[in-house]
Amino acid sequence: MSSDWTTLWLSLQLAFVTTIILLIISTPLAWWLSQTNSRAKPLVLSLITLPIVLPPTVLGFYLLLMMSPTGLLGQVTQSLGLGSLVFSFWGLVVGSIIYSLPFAVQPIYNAFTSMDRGLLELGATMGAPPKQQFLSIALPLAKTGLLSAAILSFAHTLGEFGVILMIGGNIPGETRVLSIAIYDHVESLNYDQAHVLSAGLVLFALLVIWALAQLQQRSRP
Amino acid sequence: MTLKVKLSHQIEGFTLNLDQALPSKGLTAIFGPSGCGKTTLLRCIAGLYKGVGTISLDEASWQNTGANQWLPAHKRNLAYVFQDARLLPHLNVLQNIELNMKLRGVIKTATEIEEITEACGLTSHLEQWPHQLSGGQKQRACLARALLCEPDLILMDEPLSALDSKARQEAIEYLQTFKAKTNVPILYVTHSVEEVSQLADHILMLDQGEAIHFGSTLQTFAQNSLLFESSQLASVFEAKVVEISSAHQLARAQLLHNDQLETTHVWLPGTGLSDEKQIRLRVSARDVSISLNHNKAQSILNSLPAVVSDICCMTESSTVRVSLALGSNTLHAQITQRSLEYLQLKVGQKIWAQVKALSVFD
Repeated sequence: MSSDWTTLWLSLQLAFVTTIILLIISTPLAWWLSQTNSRAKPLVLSLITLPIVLPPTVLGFYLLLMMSPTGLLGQVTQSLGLGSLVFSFWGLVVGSIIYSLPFAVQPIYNAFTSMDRGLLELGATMGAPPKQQFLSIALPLAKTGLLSAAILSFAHTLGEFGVILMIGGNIPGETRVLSIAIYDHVESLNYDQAHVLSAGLVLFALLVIWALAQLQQRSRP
Repeated sequence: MTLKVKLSHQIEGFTLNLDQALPSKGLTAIFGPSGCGKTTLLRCIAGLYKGVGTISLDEASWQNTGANQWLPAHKRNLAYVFQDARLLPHLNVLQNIELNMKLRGVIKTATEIEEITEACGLTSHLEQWPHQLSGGQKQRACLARALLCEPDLILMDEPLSALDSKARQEAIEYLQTFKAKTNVPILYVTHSVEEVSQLADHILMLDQGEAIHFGSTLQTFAQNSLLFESSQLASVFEAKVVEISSAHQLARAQLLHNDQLETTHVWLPGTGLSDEKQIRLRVSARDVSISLNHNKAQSILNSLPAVVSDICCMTESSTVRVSLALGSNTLHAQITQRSLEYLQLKVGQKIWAQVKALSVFD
């Protein structure tokens, strides 16, 4: 049972770190997408959405190749003295970021695009430079979108299986997360322990859906 | 201080083309039918649209396309009051005002803020959120914001058009107080001749993207009647109250700007007026009828001796516009072709103008 606690703790750590990094990446990315008329926009949007339709094993396979010592990412991390990302916690973080990116970008992007552009004009005529318009107007108004993005990224990372199995394997305390532990328990016919973890995740998922519904209801004026 | 605008801007098949110096004080109405380019002009001045040409306020150049110079909106020290009474929805009224002051680097004492917000009738609304306010209250919050952030220019885009008639009249009164409190020039876009006649010191008339007239309000109404549609045609006077008749609740006012010996007096509803008070009067041309004799046996209070100074038959309708001289003031009357023929009016003829209704703006 103690290994299950380690697993839970690791899963939470992974989800938390991934969510924080995703918010930092996705907010400016979503802002750029909502403001730009660039011809690259449809391409960028498609790339971000790709992990939703791509089988996780395919994503995992390519990540594995890239992170391996001879892969592009692997060479970079090794030349920086960070060692290989494969079968490491930070490898999982990189995989999770790519896997959950659409779930972070979409709600923030939607919040920015549905925002009344007139309010930014108002900001400009009040003397706010673009950076200040973003910080004082766009960010506070996209609060609900940011919160949705955080909840969705966290939940989605917590339930991740295919990508992690491909790039992380099953190292207790390093890469063994909840979904992998459940798979293991079932494989070795430990149904009781599988039940505890699975029921916990079902409850957590319900909580997430409920929280999102609350958010959406509150954001309506 | 002058605002000089030499600008052309194309948007959706429509071209704005303007070369105009605008007055540095008072309220200038930018007036014209919808789609004539009023709002486009205002947005170009604000830097929300990037036209081609030059815009300068005093020494400061805001735009000079030739020299490849363009100041973005946030660097132009102006206040913009939008048609939809725009406030930031996540801040309360006071926070909206304070953010604007902070962004403009304006520091005011609590007393100064209190004085202006009180004058705008906001004292009990400062802690409220924009969605809790009525349209009129929101627009007053925008006015207070504009006054407190010390702009060099205030732009107003049909600020009253979204209000119902009661709130609009109330807002006009606030605007008059507002005008009196500031030395900052105001550009005021409207299509309402009523708002122009009540508030404007000058009028810039636009049609299809071009300026067709610029002049002082009184002069424009007196001398440029052809610029107005039949329903808009009116005479605007400035007058001074000279007598209050409390028994009948009436006031008598003398028309100003008259360099003739003979003075013209009119009777007005006296409520709210005090002696010596200077007011503005508006008489719709449809409310003026012409009589050849002085008919004393009638209910109309204002029967004024006048001289026909111009007769203009409108081709598109069967109406005739008759300009009447009241000393050096001009009163417009709109009568039918049939009446003209029946009365056999001629320029220079002495007649009596009967004014059925007049609006008083104090």
